[in-house]
Amino acid sequence: MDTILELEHVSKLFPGVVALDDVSIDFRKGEVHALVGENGAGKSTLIKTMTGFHNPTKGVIRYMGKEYAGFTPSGAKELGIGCIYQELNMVGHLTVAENIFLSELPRKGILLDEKRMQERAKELLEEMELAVSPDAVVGDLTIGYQQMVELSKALVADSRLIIFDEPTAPLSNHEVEILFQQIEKLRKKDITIVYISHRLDEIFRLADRVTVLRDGKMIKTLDIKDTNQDELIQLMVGRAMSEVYPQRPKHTGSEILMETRGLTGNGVRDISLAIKKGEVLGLGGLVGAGRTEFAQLLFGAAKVESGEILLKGKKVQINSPNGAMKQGIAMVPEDRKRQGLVLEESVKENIALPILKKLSSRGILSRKKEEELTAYYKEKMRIKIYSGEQIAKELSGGNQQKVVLSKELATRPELIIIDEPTRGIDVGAKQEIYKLMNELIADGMTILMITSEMDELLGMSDRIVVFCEGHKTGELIKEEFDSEKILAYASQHRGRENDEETKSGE
Amino acid sequence: MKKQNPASKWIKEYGIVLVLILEVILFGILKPKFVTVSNFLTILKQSSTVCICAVGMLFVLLTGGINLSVGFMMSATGMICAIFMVWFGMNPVLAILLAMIAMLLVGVVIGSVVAYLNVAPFIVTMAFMNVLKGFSFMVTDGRNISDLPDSFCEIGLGDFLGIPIPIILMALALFLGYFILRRMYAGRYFFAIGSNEEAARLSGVNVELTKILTYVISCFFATFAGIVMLARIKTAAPNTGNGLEFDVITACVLGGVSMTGGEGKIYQVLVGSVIIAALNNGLIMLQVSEYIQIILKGIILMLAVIYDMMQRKRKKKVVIAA
Repeated sequence: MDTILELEHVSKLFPGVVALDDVSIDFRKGEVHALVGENGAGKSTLIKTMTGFHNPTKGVIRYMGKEYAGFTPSGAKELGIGCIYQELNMVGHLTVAENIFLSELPRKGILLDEKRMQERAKELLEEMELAVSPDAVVGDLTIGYQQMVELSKALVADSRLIIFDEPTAPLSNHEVEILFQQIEKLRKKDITIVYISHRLDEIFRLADRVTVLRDGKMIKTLDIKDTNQDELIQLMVGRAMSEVYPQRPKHTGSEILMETRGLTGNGVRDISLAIKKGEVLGLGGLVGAGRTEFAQLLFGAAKVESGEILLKGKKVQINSPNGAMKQGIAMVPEDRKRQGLVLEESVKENIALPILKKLSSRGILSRKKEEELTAYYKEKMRIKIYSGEQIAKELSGGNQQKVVLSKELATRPELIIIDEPTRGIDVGAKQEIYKLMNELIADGMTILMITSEMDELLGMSDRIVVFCEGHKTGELIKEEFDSEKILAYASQHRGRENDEETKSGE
Repeated sequence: MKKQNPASKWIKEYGIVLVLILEVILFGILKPKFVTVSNFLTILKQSSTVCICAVGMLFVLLTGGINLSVGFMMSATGMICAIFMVWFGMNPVLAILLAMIAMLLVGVVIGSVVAYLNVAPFIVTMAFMNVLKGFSFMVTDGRNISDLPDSFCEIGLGDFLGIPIPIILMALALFLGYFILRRMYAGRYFFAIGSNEEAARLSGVNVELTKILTYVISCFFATFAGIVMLARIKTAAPNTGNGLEFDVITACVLGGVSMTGGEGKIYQVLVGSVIIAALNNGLIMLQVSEYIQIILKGIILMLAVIYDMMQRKRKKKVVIAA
């Protein structure tokens, strides 16, 4: 196969940081080439170098055999290098067609050639076999379809090499399938795909070759058929991962800490379940199944329409996050950068935020108590910081997650809801979070865990409840754990009658 | 992590102080009379109303809001106080108290509309700017009230241990602002909301109430400033506060308070206010027309906002590079 893009001994230095260190990779025409590595391994810098946002400090980039001294973002685009970023560049208020052609709107003199734009968009969408109308407003589409619109933008620009940066992170399983079909199509058209993902199973399904990066260095490029997950993980972290999920004693108690009866609201319907004291209850299901929405009801971040929440057998009203904290419920939200942390503030200020009142007397904040609190959690959660004054933004994903955990623990909860405990965290730090979760259980805490990663769900839960389209569709005890069964529950929605029953019951 | 040259870091943080020093040197060269202790005291006195009001504005800006009503709130405060004192012969303390209560209520209303109904602060406070403007003109049919009691005017014209009282009051306001922001726990809420409202809400912060509080605080300081202003010019005129909201916002942004929320310090408010007062003072000495002064202030505000945005972009770049 021919090489389309080749990096030769590319290094990128930032003041004080070597982001890429003598990296050589070749991307072949029509292959799916996966890039893997822990956070901070240099994947983002590599993408930015390939798309012209960074110019290499040393080394050569060759595209179609021609050497390029410097790419610019627009230059890379013209050459046919496209990128689907994690954060999509969509104009939410415009239609699909308008978004696709935004950079080169078909014109008739000074007027927009609406008809031609519609036609071309329709053709393109049909060719991609996407059931989306060109007139649909992009903001109304699910993230999966928005991603497809972004992809069609890259196709309009006649891209020969398309980079996908963690494309499946926000998608539901169904949407992932659509994406994979599109990638297959691109492969047939001889378009090169550079695929970046934390999810190794996807890489084994899609990729032809995989390159492992670690600490800015290119470790190895492998044919996918010559390798396996364990080897990749070992190459990524530089050591063998003997046991990803640390053991903890089997949960035995039967005392119920919290119970919901017919809980409805915020897109979930009629949820009845019990959380036992001292267990990890896993909530499984597809993205969008209503698990986060359910957690928001428990945490007072959304309004309950009907049904009840019982805490230790007593009915409680939870109207705000503050109210939930007073009842001993804490939540580590799904998106730690947007919901969990005030990124511009220090670790100390973040940890203290929920309990500032408790750290104060007569409205005046005790800086000493604040320092003590930070020191305590730095030790207990093994947060790697040199000072509590360090800004949250500067920390790695794993350390940020520890700060969010600390800040929630500071409210001294009995139940802690953890939504996606290890999203976007690298393999080594994941295990650290699992260990901490086990320590919390050993301390007598109860955890409600929401996760979209099957391994994590199976590995960490004592019991699993499965949601689908806002309903509870299944419940499994440890002995029954089985990924196929969970998937079956997760895609089995109980249909309309049930909704109407609930409605007429209100 | 990226290492920063300490000198460049210092300039980034305190560069605005350098601007002030350069300003003083420049005016000093053009007009030696500018650099005298008595003129410095005059400048501080002149900056007092804007500065006191800007302390309140800082709270609103920190949470990502804005309050355009403060200019005419100063006018309205003056009118209310003057009417009570001159027409009804009321005790100045009582008059001040009544004006304060009225304006704090306005703050509650503005804050509630912003926080609970989610109306853009720009629009809500612009509406109230007009309400207060209309009110100020209506109560006396547009006429001024003078002959204020001497005891009241002491606030603006007297001094204590040789220091003019407006300067003392300004220092008091600055300290009060500092105390609320940095010593009281509620101060953290303003920064947290301005930086990440969602995270603050999920951390149990009552975001709505805190936002209302910022408008109440801002109205408190606006009323405070209105009283000092009234005592300094000894006449209540409906139009005195006209355009002051502009000076107040310029002072904050020039000092380094971010228009997008989450960043700002008390000393910046002081420096920004003094730069503006010194500019007014120096330009008057140089006999530059008032209209040109307005043009200059407009340009300064724009440059300050552009600088703020550039800083933000640079920060983003550093994050991406890391």
